[in-house]
Amino acid sequence: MGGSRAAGRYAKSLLSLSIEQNALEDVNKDMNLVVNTCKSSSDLMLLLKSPIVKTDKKQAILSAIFSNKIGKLVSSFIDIITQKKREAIILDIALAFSEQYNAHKNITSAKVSTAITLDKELKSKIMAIVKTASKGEVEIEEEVNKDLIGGLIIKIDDQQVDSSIHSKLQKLKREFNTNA
Amino acid sequence: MAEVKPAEVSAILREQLAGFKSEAELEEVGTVLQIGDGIARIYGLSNVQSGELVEFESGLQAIVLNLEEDNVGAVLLGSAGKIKEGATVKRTGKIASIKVGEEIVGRVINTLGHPIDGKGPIGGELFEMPLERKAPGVIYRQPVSEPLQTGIKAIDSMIPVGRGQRELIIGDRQTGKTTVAIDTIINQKEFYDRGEPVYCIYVAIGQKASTVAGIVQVLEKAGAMAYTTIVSANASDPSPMQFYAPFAGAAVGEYFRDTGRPGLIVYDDLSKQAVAYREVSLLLRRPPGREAYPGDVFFLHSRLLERAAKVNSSDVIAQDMNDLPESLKGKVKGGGSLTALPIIETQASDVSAYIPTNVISITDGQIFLEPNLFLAGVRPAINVGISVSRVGGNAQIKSMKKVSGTLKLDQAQYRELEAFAKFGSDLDAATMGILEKGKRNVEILKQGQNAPLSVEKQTAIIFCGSKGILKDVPVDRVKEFEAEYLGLLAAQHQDILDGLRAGKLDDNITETLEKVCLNLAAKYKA
Repeated sequence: MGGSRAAGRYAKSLLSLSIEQNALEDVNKDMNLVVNTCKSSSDLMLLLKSPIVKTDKKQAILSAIFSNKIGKLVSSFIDIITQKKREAIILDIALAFSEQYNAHKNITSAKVSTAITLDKELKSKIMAIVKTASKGEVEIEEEVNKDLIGGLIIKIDDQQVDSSIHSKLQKLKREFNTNA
Repeated sequence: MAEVKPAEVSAILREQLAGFKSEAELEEVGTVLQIGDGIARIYGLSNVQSGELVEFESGLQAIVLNLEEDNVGAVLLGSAGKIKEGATVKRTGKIASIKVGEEIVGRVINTLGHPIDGKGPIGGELFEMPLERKAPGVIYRQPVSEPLQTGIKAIDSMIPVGRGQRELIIGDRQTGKTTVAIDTIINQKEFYDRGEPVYCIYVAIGQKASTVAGIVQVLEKAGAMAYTTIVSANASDPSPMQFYAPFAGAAVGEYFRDTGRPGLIVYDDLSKQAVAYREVSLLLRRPPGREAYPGDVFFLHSRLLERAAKVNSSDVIAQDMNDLPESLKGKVKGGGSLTALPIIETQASDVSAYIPTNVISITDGQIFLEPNLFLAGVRPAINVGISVSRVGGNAQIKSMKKVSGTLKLDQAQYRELEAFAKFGSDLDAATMGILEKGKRNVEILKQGQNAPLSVEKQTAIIFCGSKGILKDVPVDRVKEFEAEYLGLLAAQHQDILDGLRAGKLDDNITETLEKVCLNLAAKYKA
């Protein structure tokens, strides 16, 4: 996801460093933890974005949160980010990292939106379909959206297939409006 | 009792939805990062092209104008309404275009080609004409050769406009710029009645809706709506609609041009369009240049005005024309033309401002309207000294060319000597002669609003003026004389008028004109 240009730069350097040190998988796991933590706690994000809180305070908080859960590489990376006063874009960096990690590993990530929760059988069917459309591994992100009514939307990068009932009804409505 | 069968109802419904596709297609999408001020910043859409139409979920469309490293800037063609950050945007793979057909004539449409006159949808066969289209290349053109009669004496005699020409109308507010353009449209009635219509398009940019309604009424009253289309982007419309309105008008004009017919398009006015474009450009964060206009404001106007052209008369060559829209292929005929009359409003007669100098340099001549002439009662307030037509001379009909040959020079001399007029009787006879003739010519060139004159009548009255045979008619009675003289010619010498219209000016015609004029002038002698 977009984010600032700096996020891409930080993520890129972290990626190449972790490849160099043969710690790619660990780093990826740690960065996923960062994403999940940031996404689940809006308070943390607000704190990191606040210009009032001092840098060493933020650093202390971050290391308290992540201290035993992440590897040395990522924890020192977080230290650098905070020192450079870039802690506000930590989520962007983590997202950019996972994007670049996927690109590096040739993993396609697809977003599937449905009106109901997918069961295993459906999931594997969708997985199979998405696999035919992509080259490498496939990773699926699920979203349940009641507004769709039925059907599903599969989105890979910039391309999507929209076969939801909601969009069909919308199309139908517009068709009637233009014909009138 | 009649019964409606459910089967019938569903059959009709199916028919109504004939074009409806229910299967899902692979779409290219992006997400809205930011929306506001009629601008959307979109993430994604990585293959989108500049100028492409994109569509929001609500059906609202936008045109992509900026392609940046990490986002796409698009201008909305309508109100942003319920669109939120994160909404999906789809590529359409099309460029912005409007639907044009024969039945667009007589209608008032907006920039998107939708009728706004409440007369229902536009019927007939419709062709998709792109808003942005390359102008015809050199090979497909031909020099201007036919006149476009404006019906205004000062213009047709001294600043003639040819079909396919671009003649700028420039002046301050309240100097009668729109009137010149509207009179020109009204004058095309003559050709419509004769069965060789000049299709007119009036593009109103950033004007009050009431003003546009007034213009429609004037044209309707004059019977001119029968061959006129009005494209209107009112002051209350979003600025993208305003700056695309001339392009929509040009698309309509090109339909007539490329099907081998003459068209006339009035852009009223391009200074407002430039302002709308500046607004959009600044919102898109393009760097401002002189007077805060973006760097490509010259290109904006030049590519628009280049679309006015006289197309080669050969059908075979015309059919090969560059950048022809798919829908028009096979329908193209040669010999069509699109004449453009762009209007520019100056501030305090300053023609050296950015936009006026640009457009002056693009067009094939300009008609200057001056407030002091207007206030002195010289209406149309055309300053013939600095108004020029660079190509129209070739298109003037022979009789008019001969008669008005000396007129411009006479008037220039008159203005030079006008300062001496204050000394009254101290002047020599030659100077007095020039002054008297000049004064009468000024009277002849005055003309009422919405009262265009056919070219033969113009020639007949200018003949009297430039020959100096009006010296016995008092200056304040010249108008009266003109009316009587033209009435007399129409009643008794229709053949002479027909001859003049055909471009003839032989001895027989000049003698008769002189005779009629002298006889009538004697009556006015004080």
